Amino acid sequence: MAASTLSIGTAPQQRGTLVFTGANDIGPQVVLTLTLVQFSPSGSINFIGDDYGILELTGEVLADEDGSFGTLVHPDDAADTPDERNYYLGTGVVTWTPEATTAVPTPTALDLGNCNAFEVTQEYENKEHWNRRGGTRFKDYNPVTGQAANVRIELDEWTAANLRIAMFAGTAGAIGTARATRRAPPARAA
Amino acid sequence: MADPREAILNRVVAVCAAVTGIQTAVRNRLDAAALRRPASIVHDGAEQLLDAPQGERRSRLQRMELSPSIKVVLRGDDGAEAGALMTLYRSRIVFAVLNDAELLGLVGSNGGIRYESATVALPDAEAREYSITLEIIFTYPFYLSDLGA
Repeated sequence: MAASTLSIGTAPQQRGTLVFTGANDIGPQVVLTLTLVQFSPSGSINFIGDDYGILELTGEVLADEDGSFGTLVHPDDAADTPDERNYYLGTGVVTWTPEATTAVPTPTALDLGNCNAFEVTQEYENKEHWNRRGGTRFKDYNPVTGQAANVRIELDEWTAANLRIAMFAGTAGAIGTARATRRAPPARAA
Repeated sequence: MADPREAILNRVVAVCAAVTGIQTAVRNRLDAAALRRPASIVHDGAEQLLDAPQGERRSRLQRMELSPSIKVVLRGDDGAEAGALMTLYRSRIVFAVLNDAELLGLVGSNGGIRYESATVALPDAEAREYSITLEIIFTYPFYLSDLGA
């Protein structure tokens, strides 16, 4: 076991594939694959407290060229209703596979450990059209003009790998790299 | 699937009986036969609703919490020795129950096993018997259909 030093903020692009694999006894065990997620800073990370520490991550789910944000696999496409065995109480495994880079062309999937929440939110933008020919206007057309999706997860295992994602961190050696790429301030005129 | 309540309670007795040093394990008795010591006495305790799906009105599915008590009765020459022995058996039983694969399978991935408390009873005057009662909570899915199986 060796210590790991992370350089906070030196890896701002945390992009990859997020997969939830259901392991619940109650309800269908679905598999949700979000093909390309880009994490962004979210809630604070509390290093002192009386509650168990949580690493909260929120991210934008980016669509592919066909407009798909990912896939959901249901184990039984012929499930009858009503049936109490369709009730759902979620639990499962979440893995993160970073986007391939030239340095790491085939990244391996990382088990994020115990995950307390995995929430997906879809957003639509609409363009409302109102008919105003009568005394009361009424909406008669509402086409979707834009789509977005977001994901939020809560991790409670403070591994170096999870902290690297949560703090957008690279390895300590990246500090010099980041500084070297900054542009030097313009020289003052004499 | 059979009613998990009975399966859990039976298994708890079996796990306690297999703990190193325990001479006998009984269920729902005031004491062990022939006063064998150390003895483990399991009382079924309470079964309570934890949660249920919103709108479910017939208890077809819900999660229950089962809280049996596991009392360990042993003899000790003095209070210090008895204290150490009670700690020893507390550790062995909690470890055995919380790691038992059959019990973990019975509670399933939406349930769980939680060590809740340990309470040492006041000893009787002049007696050399001591007891510690462990409370372990089992959370498991309750299906009404299991009761008819």
